[in-house]
Amino acid sequence: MRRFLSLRDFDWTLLGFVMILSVISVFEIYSATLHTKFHGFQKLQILWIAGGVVAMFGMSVIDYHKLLNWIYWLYGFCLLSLVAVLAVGQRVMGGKRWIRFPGGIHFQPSEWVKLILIVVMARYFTNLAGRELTWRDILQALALVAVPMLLVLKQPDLGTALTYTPVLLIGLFLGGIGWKRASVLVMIAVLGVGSIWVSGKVLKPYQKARLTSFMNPDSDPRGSGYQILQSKIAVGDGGVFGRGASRGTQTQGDFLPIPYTDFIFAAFSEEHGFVGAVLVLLLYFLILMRLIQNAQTAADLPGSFLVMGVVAVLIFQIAVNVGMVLGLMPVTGIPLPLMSYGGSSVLFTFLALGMVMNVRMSRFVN
Amino acid sequence: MSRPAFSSDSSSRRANAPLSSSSSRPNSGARLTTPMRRIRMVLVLTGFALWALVIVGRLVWLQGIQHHVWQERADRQQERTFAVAPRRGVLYDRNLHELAMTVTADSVYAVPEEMPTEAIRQRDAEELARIVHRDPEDRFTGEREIFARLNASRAFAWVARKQPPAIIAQVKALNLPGVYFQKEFKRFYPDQDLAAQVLGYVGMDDDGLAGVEEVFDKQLHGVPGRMLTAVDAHRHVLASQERDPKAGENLELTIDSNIQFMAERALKWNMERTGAEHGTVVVQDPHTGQILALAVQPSFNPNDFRFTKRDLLDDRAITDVYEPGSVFKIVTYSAALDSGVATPDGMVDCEGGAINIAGRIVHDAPGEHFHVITVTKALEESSDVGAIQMALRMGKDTFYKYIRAFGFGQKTGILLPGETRGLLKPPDRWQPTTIGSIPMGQEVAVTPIQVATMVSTVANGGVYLPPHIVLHPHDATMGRPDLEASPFRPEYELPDPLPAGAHRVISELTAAQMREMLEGVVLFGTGKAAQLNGYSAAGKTGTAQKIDPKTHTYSHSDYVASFVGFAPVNNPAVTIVVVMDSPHKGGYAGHYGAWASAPLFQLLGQQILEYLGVPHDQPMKPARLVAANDAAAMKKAAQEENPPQNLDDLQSLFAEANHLPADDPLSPQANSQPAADSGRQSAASAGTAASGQPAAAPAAKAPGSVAVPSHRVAVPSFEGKSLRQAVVAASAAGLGIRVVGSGIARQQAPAAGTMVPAGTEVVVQFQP
Repeated sequence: MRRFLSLRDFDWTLLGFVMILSVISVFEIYSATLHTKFHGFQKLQILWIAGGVVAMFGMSVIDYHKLLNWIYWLYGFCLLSLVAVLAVGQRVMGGKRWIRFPGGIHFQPSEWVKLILIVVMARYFTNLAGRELTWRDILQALALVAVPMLLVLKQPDLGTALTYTPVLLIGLFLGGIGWKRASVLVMIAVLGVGSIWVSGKVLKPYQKARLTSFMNPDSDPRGSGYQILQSKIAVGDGGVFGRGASRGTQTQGDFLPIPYTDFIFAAFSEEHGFVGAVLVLLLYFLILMRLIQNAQTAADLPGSFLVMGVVAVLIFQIAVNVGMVLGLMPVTGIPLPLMSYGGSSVLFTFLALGMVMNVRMSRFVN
Repeated sequence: MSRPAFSSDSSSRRANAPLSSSSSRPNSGARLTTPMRRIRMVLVLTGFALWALVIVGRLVWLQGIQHHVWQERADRQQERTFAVAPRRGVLYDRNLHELAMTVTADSVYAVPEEMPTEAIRQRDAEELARIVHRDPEDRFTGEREIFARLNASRAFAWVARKQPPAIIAQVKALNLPGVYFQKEFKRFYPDQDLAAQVLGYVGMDDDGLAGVEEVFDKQLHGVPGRMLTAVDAHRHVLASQERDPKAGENLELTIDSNIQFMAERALKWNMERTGAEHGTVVVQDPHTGQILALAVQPSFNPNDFRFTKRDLLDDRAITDVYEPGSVFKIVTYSAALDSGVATPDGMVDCEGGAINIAGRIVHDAPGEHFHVITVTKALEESSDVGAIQMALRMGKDTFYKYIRAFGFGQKTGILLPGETRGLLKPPDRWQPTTIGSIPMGQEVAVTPIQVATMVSTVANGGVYLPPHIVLHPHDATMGRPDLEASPFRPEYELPDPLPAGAHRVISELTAAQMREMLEGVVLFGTGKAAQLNGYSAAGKTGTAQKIDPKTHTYSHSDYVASFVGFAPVNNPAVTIVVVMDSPHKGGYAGHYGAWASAPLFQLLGQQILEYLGVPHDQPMKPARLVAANDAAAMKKAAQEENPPQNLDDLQSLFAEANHLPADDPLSPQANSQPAADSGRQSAASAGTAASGQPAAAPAAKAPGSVAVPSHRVAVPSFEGKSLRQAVVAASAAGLGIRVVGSGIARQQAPAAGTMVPAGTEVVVQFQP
């Protein structure tokens, strides 16, 4: 079988939206770090994005079917790397998340696990395609996701671990789970989370307080409610048109915590107001629409699954991050894709997009 | 390019297309589930869209509807506003001499955050208190208080405010971390206790708490500036914006600080002489109502008022009421003359010194047994019966009308805090005996200011002029940056038109008759101790028993001895009211106004008139005669009557002015003293003599100088002296002084060393 991948078939429109967001990201990181010791991160972000674009193009020429074929080896390797992190990882801010290589390169395996899991789920559910999922199918899928998830939770990195769930969920959803089993799963999940919550053994009171403080941040404005409160103040302070680029007093005055990563949407909303925030949301919507379109037009089922896996992760991260920033969800430490500063996050996003590009370009082959 | 997302043809094409992948299983079931899967994909996007709508709604809520709430919260945590205190306006006397000004002083504060542990804070509080806690009664700077403040705030705590440089240096030497210094404005009264009760004082935050400072606080205080500071989450200042404070307006008072100084000095001397508990002197310009001096003793230092007993802070001249006693007979006689029921030469029956009013027998002073005498004589001798006869002739309603017209029973409206209106019952509430009390100044309570204004009314020709303390009360000068010095020059005319609140009380004729009669009091009657040298004077003594606040009966031991008067008689330059509360020296006669208060009038009147350069209207009585003839006798009398007094410079100054004691044998009226008054008079003479005695003491006029052919004195050099020093020096030399300009004395005429007659006015040019 001959394949001709042509850059003509590359999704330039999608890349255009992505690049607009990336530019916005760079400017906002510049602004948010203007008076801090992190000033200059926007340059690093440019490097990450450039690297990401290169990686994306590289990824786009790798046939995703090869990925699917090797995936269980990759899956095994990534489990090993997660174990390695627990064994020899760098301890940063109370969690072992990084492996440090000679030459100052830091590596955070948990980000890549997302990508692997997307491929794993694509392959797994493609094999099951055509029939309603049995409990056995469901449990197997659950196990595939649960093992790396537990390893990441052990680091502990709740935020990243949570981003694995949408991969599973979208697989189940598109893999053909019936409504009945879905309902049972939801009930089990609710009961499980509820019992964990009530039992008080897994979560310590301060962890609970952190998770619920978003509902009433004013009850502890200097403690658990501080981040959400400052974020809401920043967003509300922005008003309709915002305070202007690099003029957000919440951001510039260092009231807003980590305004260049997790709370970058708050920083952006303060400086560019409702108009800017809605524009960013619109860009995300267009990107997701474009991705889903690619999923629908994919040449085969695993291609669809791959793209939808990416969609699921992106939607989950956007929803949880923005929800957190606006005080609708607890603080979980999940970055906003394409906006937050961070090499791992940027590279993951662009690699995932490269995979999507490959799926798209492959459909015109033959 | 891209194909329509949900077109059916593409989907069917793809559905039919064989899987080209190497996936392990054939997609046999794809045909069935693909449409469902596509729907589910759309559902995913729809889900995102719905979530996005929720997010947009949330943004509308936060950024639109609640925007101002969050903006306020942002401002609140990002901005710190500091009030910047304005410079308080200067209080000037009428010559633009500063009576109250604002200087800067260092305050000590701490940032408790920088004292990490309680033990450190405790230690710091202890060390700081050891330095700044100088007065045990000061609650603010105690160790416990400082420690409490250090624990109360993380960001800021006062340690001690407005400290003198020496203390600041000591605190700086401690070199404690977290202790800082801040310049603050501090009110400063350069003349210390001068006119303290008039000026008042200010609190720690420059709020006027008494006197002019309180009444005019709004104008003096100014508008605080604001410093708006943007801070970050770590309280680092990012930027600041200032609104400059607006300095308070300057105020020019009617006080002449030289006259004020003379009045206080004379009053201090008299306090010591009489042993009075309190003393008040009011000097007023009778033709404008302006208060030239208002002295209250004991006094306090407004720079340090917090350490002063509370009762010293009141301005007794306007807050204290007392029964005026015989001084009030001026009202009685003025009313009688003006209403036509009496004439100065008319006769009045004093009924042998006792009168029955509604069953109560009123006696004249012991030993007074007048029968039918002239009205003038009745006033001169201060006959109570005579005064009651006047009131009886008028009837209580007419009498009351005059009392009100003279301003009694109502506030004068002088712009000083805490003024009382006194006590005056309306006629319908008078007891039957009241008509026998008020004419002689009982059953009526007055303030020294009211009395001064009443006397000025007689002095100026019969017009009541409301007293005032601020030169331009109606915004005329406020806001005008440059005040002008308005040195006091005696007026001889009433202002035309009359100012608001002024009204005629008695006719000019009545006023002239009263002036003549009151001159008689000084010349021939009870007020001889008030006679001036070279000036005519008029006045009235008064002695009232104090009402014991506990028993509400008249005290047998405490009296209020007063003297009111003005000089010169025909063109009065000043009105002087002297009120001595509870004089305790001088034996029985010491309670009387004639002894306790009139000499003060004599001393002060002489000084003021000479200071003002008022032309003499009487021949000067040579001092040498006094010195030569009576030095020994007076010395003897003084030693008998009074224990040795502190011969401080005040007394020597007094002595200079006191050339003519009342019992001067040259004095023509000496022999005509009625027996009844002689007791008082001799006591008064003794007192005056006692004070006159040190006349021989100063070096300039050593006993030997008595033989010098004339009472000429050498003009001292005033050069380089301050106004105060110059006045003191001039007085000490027995010279008058005419002040020109302000600042430091630069030139003078006659030149230093020139021999001139005592009392000559030296013109001294002051320049800054």
